[in-house]
Amino acid sequence: MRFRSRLVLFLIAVLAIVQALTALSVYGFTRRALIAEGKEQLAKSATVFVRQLASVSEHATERVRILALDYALRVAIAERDRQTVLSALRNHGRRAGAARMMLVELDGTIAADTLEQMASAQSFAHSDLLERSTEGSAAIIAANGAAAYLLVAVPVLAPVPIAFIVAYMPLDDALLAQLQELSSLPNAIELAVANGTGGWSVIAASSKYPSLVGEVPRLGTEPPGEADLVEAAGREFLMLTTRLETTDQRTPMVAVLGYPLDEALSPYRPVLLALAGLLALGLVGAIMGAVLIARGVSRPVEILARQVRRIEAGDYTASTPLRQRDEIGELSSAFSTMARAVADREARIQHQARHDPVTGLLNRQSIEALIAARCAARPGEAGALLSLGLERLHEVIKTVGHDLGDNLLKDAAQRLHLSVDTSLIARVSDISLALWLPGADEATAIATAARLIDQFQEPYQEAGLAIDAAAAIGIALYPTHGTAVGALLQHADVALYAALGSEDSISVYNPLADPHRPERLSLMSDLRDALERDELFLAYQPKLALATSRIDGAEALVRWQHVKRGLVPPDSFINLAEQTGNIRRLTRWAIASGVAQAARWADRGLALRVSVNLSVRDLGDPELPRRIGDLMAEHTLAPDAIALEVTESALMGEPDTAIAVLRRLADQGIDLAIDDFGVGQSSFAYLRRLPVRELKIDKAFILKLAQSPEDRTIVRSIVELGHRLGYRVTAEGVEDQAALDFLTQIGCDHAQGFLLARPLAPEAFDHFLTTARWPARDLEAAT
Amino acid sequence: MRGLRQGIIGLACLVLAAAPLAAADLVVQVTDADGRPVADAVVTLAPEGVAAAGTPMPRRNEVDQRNETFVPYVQIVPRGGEVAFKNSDLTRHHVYSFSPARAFEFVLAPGQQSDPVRFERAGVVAIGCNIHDRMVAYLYVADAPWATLTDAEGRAVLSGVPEASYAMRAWHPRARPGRPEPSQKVTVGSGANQATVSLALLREPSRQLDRDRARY
Repeated sequence: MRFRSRLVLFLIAVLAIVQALTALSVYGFTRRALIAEGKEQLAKSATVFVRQLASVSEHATERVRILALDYALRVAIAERDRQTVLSALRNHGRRAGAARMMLVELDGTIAADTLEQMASAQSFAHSDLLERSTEGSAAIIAANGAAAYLLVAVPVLAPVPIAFIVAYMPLDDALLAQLQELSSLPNAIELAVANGTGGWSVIAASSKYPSLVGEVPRLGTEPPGEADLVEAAGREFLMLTTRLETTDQRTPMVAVLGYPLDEALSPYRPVLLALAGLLALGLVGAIMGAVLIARGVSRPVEILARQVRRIEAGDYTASTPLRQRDEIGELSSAFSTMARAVADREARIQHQARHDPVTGLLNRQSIEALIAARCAARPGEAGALLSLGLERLHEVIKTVGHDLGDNLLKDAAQRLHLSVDTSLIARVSDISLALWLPGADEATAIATAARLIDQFQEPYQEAGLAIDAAAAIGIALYPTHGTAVGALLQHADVALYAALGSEDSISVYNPLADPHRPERLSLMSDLRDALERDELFLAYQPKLALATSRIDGAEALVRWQHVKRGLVPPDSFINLAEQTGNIRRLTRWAIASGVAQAARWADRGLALRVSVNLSVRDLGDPELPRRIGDLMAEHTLAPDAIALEVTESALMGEPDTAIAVLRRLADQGIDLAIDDFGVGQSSFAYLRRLPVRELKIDKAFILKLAQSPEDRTIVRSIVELGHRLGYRVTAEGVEDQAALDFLTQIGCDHAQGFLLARPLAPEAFDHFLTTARWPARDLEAAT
Repeated sequence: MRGLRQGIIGLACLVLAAAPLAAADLVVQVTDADGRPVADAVVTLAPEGVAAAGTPMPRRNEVDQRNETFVPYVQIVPRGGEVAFKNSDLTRHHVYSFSPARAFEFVLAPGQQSDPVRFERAGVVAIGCNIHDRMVAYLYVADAPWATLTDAEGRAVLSGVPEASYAMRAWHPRARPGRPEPSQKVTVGSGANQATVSLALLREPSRQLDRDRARY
């Protein structure tokens, strides 16, 4: 539950409880007071009622007494004139309001009765009444079934009592009404007589109220002396029962006086209504007040909560603290201060995360993100990523230290800012900066790059040093060279390295020349698998001995039948193997395979020397000569069944260990050939130091031999010089008969090329031997 | 005639009284149930068996009406005696009696005296005034030879009563109406004889109420 609701609820509850208790206590107090008052009033009323009844009886007695003094009546009585007496009694009875009149003799015999025409000579039932009336007069209540009477007996004095006149005064509703009119009696009065079953029967009642007689304690129970609270017909009454004196104790009579509480309470109803109104008013006021207070308390808290949620979400924009002087205000301003502190710190961290600490430029991650965002925001727009590197930076760092290197980079960044209007400059590596040119095509990018290079004409000056950093720029174009910023950056770097190595200080990325294409990596792991799965095989290109016109050898060339890629070009995977250090395994496999093939041919009586290519890295392997020796011995092959070829460039500048390996191989009787001879920079002077037995002229000189007199001269010179120095000479790339004829003419030892055959698989090679116009040299001929 | 006969009887009585017969006095003390002396009570004495001549009683009597009161309140009248009513007041009085012993009624103007009323039957005659309810007087028409009224001390003295046994009766206005007079046997011996009579009386005379209330 929200605070506001809780507060409102609490206030309402408290108010309601207080009000309800007040109302209840007021009601209870009023009610108790009313009950007390009612009891008192009832007690008084009971006394009054009894007194009034007595008074009624006195009046009745008086009336009857006056009647009894009527002389004529007395004469009639004395003279026993019954008819006169009866008519007089009727007459006087009407006067007195009596329901029945009787003349009773002194001995109790009824002499005349207005209800009976004939004298019945019965005895008057209430002799005690007569007894008492001789001393004056007597009145008593007599109940007779459903009716009650006040019996008044008066002696007829003449002047001494000679008889009694008895009058029956009815106790009925009319009498009660009369009594109520006369005095302040309570409205609810009933007269009840005990009935045969112990209960009470109503004789007279003020009809306005429900009968309370049912609540009167049954006969035999002493009625309480005090008023009782009873309920009749859903209404509450105070009830007081007063026993009336009657003629007969067996048929007791009671007066039941009721005090209707609801009527008594009715004057207080407006008070209660007013209280209820006050309660309602108070509740409304309380709710409004509570809402206002709660708002006063909870709104700042809610604002505070929103403030905190914003901070939580990372929005530190200074939320104005609440202008309150209470705890919440303090808290709010504390939150604001905290948010500002957090914002500052986060800005600092963010800046550190996005910027290079040395140059203050963006770092690689952030420029990547910014470029990506920019490209995403403007699809279709081209762009160029320039990678600027300082060629001498490594040197500078090595000689002067990192501080100067950093300063050099900072200076470079400033120079970039001077000439290019872009904020997207970042330091992407130790030695390079990257620069994003939005919307630039290749020409614009190159022009901008040229302008930038110009900025670096002035050497950097520091501490008396003038450093020409020699800037170079690699350019990768978006989206031509990639859509992923990372790839773009990499490509720009590739271009940068190309530029750093070349005369031109600006280079645009060339995907074809990129030696770092990603598929090479996968090829590498495939190569390892291929070695194990025998996907590699050796193709053999025949070598023709021109002097004998016989095939006496073959160059073994590694071929890779990739399961998915098909035949993989040898250049790509061999270079890769060289760079990744897998070349030794490859060579080991090639030598083993070549030796095995040579042994098979030897077994069939063919004297075919198998040449296997060595990589320069193989020469670093001191185990190589021993391993080859072991293989030869294993297949009982003569050393001249195998030759090893090494490219000219590979041998250049190799350490003595490599030369030592070569010498040991030569010592084992294995011939060494220099491959691709003529295009490298090797000199004969150098070659002289090597145990080389054969030169293979690069095909560049052979392919156009027929057309090019220069090539013919060069080839002729090489052959002559080679022979003079004791080398055998082989021409590669022989593709036409003219070249073959020329080579034969100048005395070249061997020819190799498509004219003879392409490199062939062993089976195809065997087929070639049977069909070619040149027979293979056999072992007899060789020996 | 009537006067002559009465005179003879009276003379005879006197003679009898003078006779040297053994006679004694009887003092009767009349009290109510509570033992209080009762005044104005009539005590009669009748010899058992034979009739005897008692103390002669005046034959002509008078009831005066003074201050709206009959005077005397109780008077013994021998059977056959006469009573004249006299009005000494300034108002009229309507004297009446409905008593079975003798019923009469007449109006007496102030200062007027009625003709004597003769009472032939023994019994109590209650006399009232129809104008003034509270006026009442009783005439006790006695048949017994000896009858007398008690004084304020409730003492009735019957003198010259021959020694014998008698039926003694007592009556009082406050005795319950319609009841026979209580009778008791007394034996009168020589010397002073004492007897007591206890009467059951109504506590309050009926008219006492009116008297108490009226302040005029």
